[in-house]
This record gives sequence, structure tokens and C-alpha cells, in this order.
Amino acid sequence: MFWSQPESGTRDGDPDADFRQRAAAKAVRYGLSPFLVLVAVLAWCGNLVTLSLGDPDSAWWRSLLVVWCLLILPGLAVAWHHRRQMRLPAGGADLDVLTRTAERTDLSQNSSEIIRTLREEIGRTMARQPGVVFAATLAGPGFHTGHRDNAAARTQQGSFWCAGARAPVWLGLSPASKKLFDAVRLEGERVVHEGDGAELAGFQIPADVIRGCHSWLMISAGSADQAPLLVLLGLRKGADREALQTRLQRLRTILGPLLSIHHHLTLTRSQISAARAENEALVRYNKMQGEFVAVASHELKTPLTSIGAYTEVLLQNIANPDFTPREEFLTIIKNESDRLLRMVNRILDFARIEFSEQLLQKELVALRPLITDTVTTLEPQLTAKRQKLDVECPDTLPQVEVDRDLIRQVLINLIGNAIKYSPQRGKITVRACEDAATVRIDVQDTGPGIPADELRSIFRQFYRVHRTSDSEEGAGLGLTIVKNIIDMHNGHVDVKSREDKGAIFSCHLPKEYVFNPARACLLGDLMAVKQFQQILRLSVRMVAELTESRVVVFSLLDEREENLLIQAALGLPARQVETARVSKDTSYLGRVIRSASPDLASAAEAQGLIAASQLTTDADALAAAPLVIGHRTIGAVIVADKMNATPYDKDDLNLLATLCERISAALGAALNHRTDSQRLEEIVEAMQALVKMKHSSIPTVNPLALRLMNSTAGVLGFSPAEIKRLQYLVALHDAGMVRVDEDILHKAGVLNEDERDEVDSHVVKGADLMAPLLLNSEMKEIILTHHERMDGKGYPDGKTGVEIPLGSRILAVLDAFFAMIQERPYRDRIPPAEVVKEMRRQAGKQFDPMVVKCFLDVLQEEGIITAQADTADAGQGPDREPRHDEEQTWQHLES
Amino acid sequence: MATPRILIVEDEAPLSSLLSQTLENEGFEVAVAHEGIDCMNKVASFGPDVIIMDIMMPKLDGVDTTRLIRRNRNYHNTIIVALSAKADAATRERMREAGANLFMRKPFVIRKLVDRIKQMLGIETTR
Repeated sequence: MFWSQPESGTRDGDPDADFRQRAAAKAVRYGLSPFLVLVAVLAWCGNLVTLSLGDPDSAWWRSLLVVWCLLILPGLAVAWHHRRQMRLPAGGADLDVLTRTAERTDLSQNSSEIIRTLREEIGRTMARQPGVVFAATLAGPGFHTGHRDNAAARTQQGSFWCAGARAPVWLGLSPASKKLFDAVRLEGERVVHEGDGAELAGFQIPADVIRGCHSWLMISAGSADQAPLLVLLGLRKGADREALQTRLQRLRTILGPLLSIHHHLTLTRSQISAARAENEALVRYNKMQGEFVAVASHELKTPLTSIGAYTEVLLQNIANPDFTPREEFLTIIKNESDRLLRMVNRILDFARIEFSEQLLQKELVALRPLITDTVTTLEPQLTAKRQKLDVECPDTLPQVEVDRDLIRQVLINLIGNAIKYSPQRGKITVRACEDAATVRIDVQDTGPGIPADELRSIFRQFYRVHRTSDSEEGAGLGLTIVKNIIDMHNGHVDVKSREDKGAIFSCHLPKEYVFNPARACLLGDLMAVKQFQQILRLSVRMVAELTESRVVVFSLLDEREENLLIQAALGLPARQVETARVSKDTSYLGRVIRSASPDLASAAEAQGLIAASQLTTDADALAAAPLVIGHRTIGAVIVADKMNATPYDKDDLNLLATLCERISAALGAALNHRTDSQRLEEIVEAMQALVKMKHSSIPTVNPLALRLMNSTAGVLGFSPAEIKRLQYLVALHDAGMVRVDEDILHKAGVLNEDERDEVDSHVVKGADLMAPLLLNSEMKEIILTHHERMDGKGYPDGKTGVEIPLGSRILAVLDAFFAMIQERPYRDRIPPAEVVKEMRRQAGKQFDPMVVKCFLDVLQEEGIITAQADTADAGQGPDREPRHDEEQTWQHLES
Repeated sequence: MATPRILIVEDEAPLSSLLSQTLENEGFEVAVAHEGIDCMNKVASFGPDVIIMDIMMPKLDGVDTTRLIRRNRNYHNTIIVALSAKADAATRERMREAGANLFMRKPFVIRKLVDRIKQMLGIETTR
């Protein structure tokens, strides 16, 4: 802090004391004043002396008294002047602030800090002027509205002082008030003589404060394109506006150069950090390349070593007639040189793919012919090992938009691996099928499988699973290439394997997604903004994957709010997306829009929207939920064709509604910051994180979790609106996990301290990442505290008991429950009785006992645990076999 | 003196089979291990005088295996010859610290390897 120096140390306790001190110090500097004051004091003393010693009857004595009094008067006048100054500091005080700040600060390091201090100080001073109702100051290049609770934004965005409230208050800017401020930045200053304060509505200044003002004065320092400082004063009737204006203008002349320097420093600093980041990226890339070359050369030397060694022996025995294994040796040499060639090819492939990301040539490809073609080219290898290969690919499989050659390469690598690792006469299956948002290609082998602890490493460069003694050849690049190619297509690869049970490699390629930007919808030209399109795409994908629906339709109302237009869709033909138009008044969707609540519909009601052939069930074949921004319904999201061909139920509807709230939050936030590309990117990033959670096998929101949250929070007395908010947070609160190193996340075994810290950091990371999607500050607080414990041993702040929001305490229990019933890399699933026991044990330590009790009651009501499991105690040890039905419920939960 | 025993630790099958044949022809008793853990078992059961150790191996690599072997007092005098394609200074140093007696770069000349082993065993026997 700048001002907590010795001479102003009293400021914290009494801000006025420091102020008087400065006024007094200034009085001393006014040359004549101390002299006059001294005279007055001496005259007063003389007066007293004369009064006590003199003779009251003599005329001389009386005239002396008059002289003393006359001498006192100028001194009194000076004192009166200073008294006024104490209330009303002259421009000198502002100059003082500047000089002292400049003296104490290393400008190059702290220009933002100086600006901040200046801003605070100017606001504080101006608010004290007579006739001023409030003073507000803002500094910085951009003024975005942010979350009220965003501490960083608060210090950057501005401060507000009012006669009654000296503490800084956050100032928000609406688009309208931002326009006003932009105008002031250009004009330099503006006076609003009289008015109802409508211009200031967006600043979030309390209404009663606005009512107390008669006119407003706004002035900006620093040029418009640089980081300016803006001062806004609210004035009472009869305030000396011109004097204040002059003072502010004077301030502006002083501050101008400083702000300009600050602007350039900030610019330079950001350039430096950008250059540094770029440099780091290059260094990292360089290092990666270096490692690649080192490992590649080692891999190439391996077959060379064998070739060299065998040739040497052959040469030594060239004249030895007894040396028999000549042919065998030559075969080995031939094999090894073949292997070397293959490896060189692989490395070339890898380099080609690594560096040709821009050259992706996408086209609509039917997978079936591609797969059969590829299998034909691999036929010789298959017959050599007498293996059998089955291709399973339904005729209804939709086409995918991919680079044909690259996907062929993927298939060659995966099927090649399957052939290599499967035994003689083994069976290989290539299966293509349609998932919710993706088309999946599985390649299943009957080989030795991959040990659990190696599953995560196999996609790395040059990684080879521990080989059996008959030594499989390969460069360890095949899977890296597969992963790169699929990543380039925005898909993902995963692998499932059990040792001795073979492995299944699955490539998930995104289905064709139809986006229709040409329609005049409620959001109008916003649909042309890149980030909006990304939000839409991610929204559709998230809904498809989490509700497990093959068809997702994202519709928005048109400008007149009469018809619904399909804006984007998954699983619908492009032509339909372009032409479909559903009246709001008649259709099923109209019902959803009008009531602004989610609803189910039968196949008959889907007419005009989704072809009947695409619907697998009759009743409850569709589910739809409205998109609501603020209190305005702007459209709806419809899902159809559920994966397992069952009707949608209440749980699905609940899930869809929660997802739509996420999407609405993202769209709403994007709408508010439509011109701020950085904020838009943040929103896109938040949505990406939510989609990525599913692919990184981080627990995502599921109907059961929502139901349990609903019941538990209900029992604990939350209102329906609050429960909705809590449901919104289910799974959203763990989104920070996508920022945690995947290797650590899936590590088998106990984590060390650093790794632990990395995992723990997901709490703060999640709160930051999800900030654009949070509706209020309590939500952020809940995310930040969901790993706190009742006994204060949690993280990140070690809060205890009621310091932790109740919602957070419920989430903690819910999280722990789902964590325990799932298998983790380092342990098996925990049997139900153990879960209950563990929760009981942790009540009062990790968990809130009240929440645990309610939660266990809810579990029992739901039939997830039996009364017996609920009362399980020491009598039933950990090795107790779980009852059959319990086991079944558990498996059901897992899926 | 009994026939000297040599343990070959090498994950490349063609190379290990050639080495074992050559060394058997030279009159040694030979065993082969395919990686570090396998090697630890064979060291205990086979009791080699010389271990030819590859460095880059899956699971337990040559450096760690050597370190583990040297930790056991019974194998302080066992000769360990490191063989590796990765032959930069750092790797050599790590291998030397772990307790290897000799480092040979791959690709290598078999004759030379056999000569060095004989030479070292000769020194060993005369002491």
C-alpha cells in the first residue's frame, strides 16, 4: 500500500486525520501564513498579560488592548482559511498525491498500481468536495461488465464513493453506459445538466444516490485510444460545478502524460510476455523434436545392431565349411532390414502427419467401403497368421466428414496392430456404429491385452507395450499417428483392455453437424460470430452425448417470435434443417416455449420436425427444454432417437433441462459480451471443458446425480429455485479436472505430494474456468468450497463447519458417493455396506452429519441401499460378500 | 575352474539368440533374460559371472537393474557389461554410477565383446 507510510500511518484508523495533517503541512508551506498565525498568538498572549497587569481605567491601557485585538484578527482570518482548506483541499493536495506517488514508486514496475492508487485517491478526495453527492472513477482500456463477485474485476473496473459509503463499491457498465463512456472518452468531458439519471442506469449506482443528484459531470483523462481514467461526479443542486470542473481539468493536464506512459508500459509488457510465451513454445517444440530424434535414432539402431552382428558372424565363417546356419542368419538379416524399412516409413508418415495439419482434405466418406478396402490390402498378413477378420457395419451408418487417406492410415495401423498382437488363428473384429454425437470404429483383437498401468502411455511416441519373448517389431509410432489423425478430426481415441482378454481400440469421429447461419433468428447477426457458432456446436454435442440421443435440434425463435427455426442440428439431413419452420402457436414446441418448461412428446407430435423413420418409439419419443435468457424464452433444444431405443423419461427431461440452463447461461454471457472477443473465448473454453469431461472419463452430470441432489436438498429445506441452482452445479463443479494432467488423473497407485497438489488445483481452476457460466457469486463460492471438510482439513482454504455453504456440503457427500461406487485405477469398487459405513465414519469429519443422514435416507428411499446395508456395522466385516441384488444395483449405477 | 556363466539381458530376440550361440561356441554357459525383472530372477537362480546388460528395456531398464544387482553383496564381483544404442555421456555416466564395469555402444562387433569378456574374466581368475 502506498499510503501506509509513517507520516500517514493514521489513515487506516481515521482517514480525516491524515487529511488534516496534510492540510496543516501545507499551511506551513504557505510562507506568510505561519507568520500571521504567530503574530496572532503573540497578540493573544500580550492581551492576556495586559489584562492581568494593566490598570483598567487608563486610556493608554485601553488603546493597547485594541491594538492587540487588531493584531489577532489577520491570524484568525488565516486560521479560518485553513479550516476551510481542511474541508476543501485545493489543487495542491492533488499535486501532492501525484508527487508523492511518483517519488515512491518505480514507474516501470508499478504503473497499474499507481493508476489504481491515483484513482482511489482522486475519487476519495472528490467525494468530499462540497456539493458532491458521489464520485466514481474507472481506469483501464476496456470496461466490461463482469461478475459482481469477481475480485480482480473489482479492482480493475472502478470504485465508487458516496458521502455515506466511503468503501469502494463495484461499478458495472451496461452496453448503453459503455456507449456513454466511450463518448466521454472521445470528447474529453461532458456535463449532464439536469435529468433523471437514465444515462447512468447501467452503472449500477444505487437509485437513492441517483435521486439525490441534480446534475452530473464526467471527465476523462488520457486520450481515447489509450488507457484513460474516467471520473464521474454526481452534484447536488447549487453545487459550484465550474470550480469542480476547473479542478478536474487541472488534474487531467497533470495525469495525461502519466496515463500515456502507463499505456505504453502496459503495451510493452504484454508484448514482452507474448514474445516470451512464443519463445517458450518454440523451446518446448525444439526439445520435443530433439527427443524425437534421440529416440528415433535409438529405435533405428536396434535392427541395425542385429544386422551388424549377424553379418559379422557370417563373415568370420565365410571360409568355414562346417558353419551351417548360413540361411537362417541371412533370413534374420533380411527380416531385420525389412523391419528397418518399415520403421523409416513410419517415421516419415509421422513427420508428414505431424506437420500437415493444415492440409486436411475433408469429404463425406462412407465408412463401410473404406473399411472393406483396407481389410483387403491387409489380407496377406491375415492369411499368413491364419486369422479371421469380421467387419460389422450397419447399412444405416451415416457418412462422416473426414480425410479419406488419413482415416485409411488409422485403419491400417489399428488393424495391423490387431493382426500383430492376436495369436495364430485368432479373431479380429472391426465394428463401426453410431453413437450419440459420434460415429465409432472399434478394432478388437484377441491378443495378450494391455496391462492397466500402461493403458495411458500407449499413445505416446515410441511407446511399446512390454513385449513377449517372440519380440514384435514396430517403431512404437503407430498409435501416436492414430491419435494425431483422430485429434485432427476433433474426435478422440480410447482403448479398453484387460490383460489376457484382448484389447478394443475405439475411434470416435464427430457426426456431420448441420449449421444454418442464414436464418433470421432472434439473435440475428450474432450467429455470424465465430464464437457463437462454436458455442452452438459444443452445446449440441454436449446434449447429444449426455442425453445419449442421436438427434439433437437446436431451434431459436425468429425475429417476430412467431416461428421456431432450426439453427443447428445433429442427425438431421441438411435440407430439412434449411426448410423446417415450426409455428409457435400450434406445435408441441410451442407448448414448451409458452410454458418455458421442459416437456415430452409422442412421435405424432414430431411431424414437420423429425421424420417418423428416425424415431424408434411412439410415446415420449421426443424431449425438449426451453432456452431462457433472463426471463425471455429464446428457443428450445429438442432431442430424439435415444441410444437404447427407449422412450425418454422424467430423469432424461430433468437432465436436458439442466443442460439447457448451461447453454442458456453460455448464450446469455456471450450476448452480454458480444463485442469482447476475449470474453467470448472464455465462454467457448468453458463449454469445451464441459464436453471434454465426458471424453476424459471425468464423472459428468447424470440423471441419478440430479435426482439425488434434488431429493437431498429438498429434505434439507432448499426452495425449488435453489435446488435448480444446485442441480446446475452438479458435475459442473469438477470441470477444473480437465485442466489437470491426464497422466496424474489416471495414475494407478498413490499420488505424491506434487501430484496431489495438481489434482487439488482443480477446485480453483474449475471456479475460474466456469466463471462465464455461473449465474451468481454463491455458485462460485460452492465450487470453491466443495472440497472443504467439516473439520477444516480440506482445501483450498481449510474452512470449517458452517463457513462452508450448505450446498457445497451436499455436493461433497454426493461426490464422495459417486467416487466410491466407481472403480478407480488404484482400487476396486467399494461394496455398498462399506460406502455407508465410510460415510457414517466421516460424518462430522469430512461431511456434515446432517447431510449424511439425509443423503442416506434418500438412498434408502430410492432403493439404492437396503435398510440392512444402511445399518451395517462392525458385525459385517469388509470381506462380506455383497448381496446379489445390491451388486446388481451397483452395476446399474456404474453404467 | 568351472565353466564361466554368462547371463544375456536383451529384449531383442535375434540379437540375444546370436549372442548366446556365439558365447556358447566360445565355451561359456549361457542364459538369456528378456528384461530387468526376468534378469533379477535369473541372476538368483543362474548365478552368472558376467552379465551382458541392455539399457533400454521395457519395465525395469538396464540402469535400475544394475543398481539392484549391485545392492546385493553376493554380486559385487559379478562383471556387468552394458550394451546400448543410447550412448551419450549422461547414459554412460549413469550406467557407470549404477555399477557397470564396461560400456559398449550398439551396433558393436561381437568379436570385440567376446575378447573383452575373456580378458576381464582372465583378470578375475588370476587375482
